[in-house]
Amino acid sequence: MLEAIEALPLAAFLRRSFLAYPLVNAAHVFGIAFLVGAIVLADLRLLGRLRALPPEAVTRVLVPTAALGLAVALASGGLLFSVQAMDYAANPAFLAKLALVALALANLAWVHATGALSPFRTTGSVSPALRRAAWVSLTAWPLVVIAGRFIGYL
Amino acid sequence: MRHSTLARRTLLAAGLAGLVAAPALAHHGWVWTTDEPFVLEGEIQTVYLGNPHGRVDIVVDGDVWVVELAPPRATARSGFVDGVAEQGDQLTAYGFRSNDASERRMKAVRVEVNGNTYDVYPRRTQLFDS
Repeated sequence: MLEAIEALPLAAFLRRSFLAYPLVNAAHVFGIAFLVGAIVLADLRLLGRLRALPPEAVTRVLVPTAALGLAVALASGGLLFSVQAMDYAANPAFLAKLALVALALANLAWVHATGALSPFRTTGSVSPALRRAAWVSLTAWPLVVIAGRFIGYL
Repeated sequence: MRHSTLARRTLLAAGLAGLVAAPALAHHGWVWTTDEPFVLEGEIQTVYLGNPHGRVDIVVDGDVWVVELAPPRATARSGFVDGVAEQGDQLTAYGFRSNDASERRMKAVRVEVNGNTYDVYPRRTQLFDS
């Protein structure tokens, strides 16, 4: 499976490319910037900070911005992984990052599946469960970034 | 008021994250290695010439050592390209080993294989030129 990923033509191309690899790397940074930047603001607003942000700005601007960032980060991250799939799969920091991403995504899925943001959008009220989810998100995503930075150093 | 408190806390959090991440900044430079010149000779097991940087795994007295090279373009510029070194060839690596003495890993500035010398970090070979 991992060998098959490494054997993909796109992985082979990125492995040897001078331009494409750093560009995909940059895309990963942009994706994370949008994702974490937007989601930290959204989480803080849900936790009662940044009251200058109307609830609609959270649901109509920050959430879609974070979603776009997530899509870019996942796609570029997959490409970077494919270059040395076997090495990354054995890297403790990478595995920790994956576990944290899984936790953060499960949290995200719960928020959207339960529609917990709807009452917030209309009335600004935040249920205790949504508050907890905001804390999980506010903790997990920055830890994802930190775990990610350690990948190259283990 | 609330905002300035938040800004201060955010700065504090960023600073703490920076502290946690600080050891990591070493890797792409040389801080993760010692300053002592280090020479290692062994038999090549695998050669990897790709992003983010090249590496050669060599067997030394039955142990596998990782010899890290430069990023692909710099490694190729030294002449170290596909075909110059194969599994089974003897390779001598000059460079600096990991700060962590339990780790069999070094970063090479120069490698010699099959009678040829490749300076993958030509600006850092002075210590080995004498």
